Amino acid sequence: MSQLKDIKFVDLRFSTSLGILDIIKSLMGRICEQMEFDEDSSYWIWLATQEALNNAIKHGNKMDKNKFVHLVLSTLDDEFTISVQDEGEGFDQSSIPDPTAPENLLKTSGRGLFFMRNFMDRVEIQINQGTKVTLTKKIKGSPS
Amino acid sequence: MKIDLRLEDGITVVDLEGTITIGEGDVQLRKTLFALIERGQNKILLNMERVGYMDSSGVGELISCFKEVHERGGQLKLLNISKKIKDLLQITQLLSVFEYFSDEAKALSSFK
Repeated sequence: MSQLKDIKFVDLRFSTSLGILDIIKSLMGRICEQMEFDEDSSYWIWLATQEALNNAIKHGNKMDKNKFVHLVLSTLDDEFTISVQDEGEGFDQSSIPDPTAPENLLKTSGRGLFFMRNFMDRVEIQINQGTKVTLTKKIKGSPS
Repeated sequence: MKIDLRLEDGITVVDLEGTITIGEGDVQLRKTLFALIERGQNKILLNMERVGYMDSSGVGELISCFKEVHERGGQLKLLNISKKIKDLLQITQLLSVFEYFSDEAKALSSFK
């Protein structure tokens, strides 16, 4: 075993800005390394997380610097969980069309949630005083 | 993102280096390509050899540029996409939309 799970829990609240993504990426990379995710898995976990953060910043908080995004990273048992909550008005999941349908292929937006669902094991969305997206990835090598 | 332009047999090769993500690279790419289109340079080969990362906003910008070029009667093709970006385009069914190459000479000759 390595120095696994030095970081078990991170709770971060930041004002709406895309500028913080690089810092979070660096932190996520460190945690993924500790949890022995391979390079590919780490890459896709970050992509899914960035999509959740992008949505919170751009669509949820609508780039309003007076609003906050709440990010929680936790490793519990055999799962890595990332939750991203904004202070927006929420959205209707059924209003997001399938981006792979022929009529939607050339749409320039609407793929963020699709990427999250493709690259994570579980994606949960709760609408309550903003949108909370919870992404979960099973930690490799953990007993199932 | 670093963007270099070169003209090869009437085709504009756009050498990209960096990431194409929200707020970084996406708008820059669009501005560069739309400026080319405005100047009538609408045969464009995007060399993505040094693009290691792209999010859904980057995919959206690629599509936006692709549509604009086609509406002006031009062509936009991709060169040297990484395996991960190819995976992204695959799962979004966009590999059937974009013509892509791993050999620049073949890519250039495909415009003729």
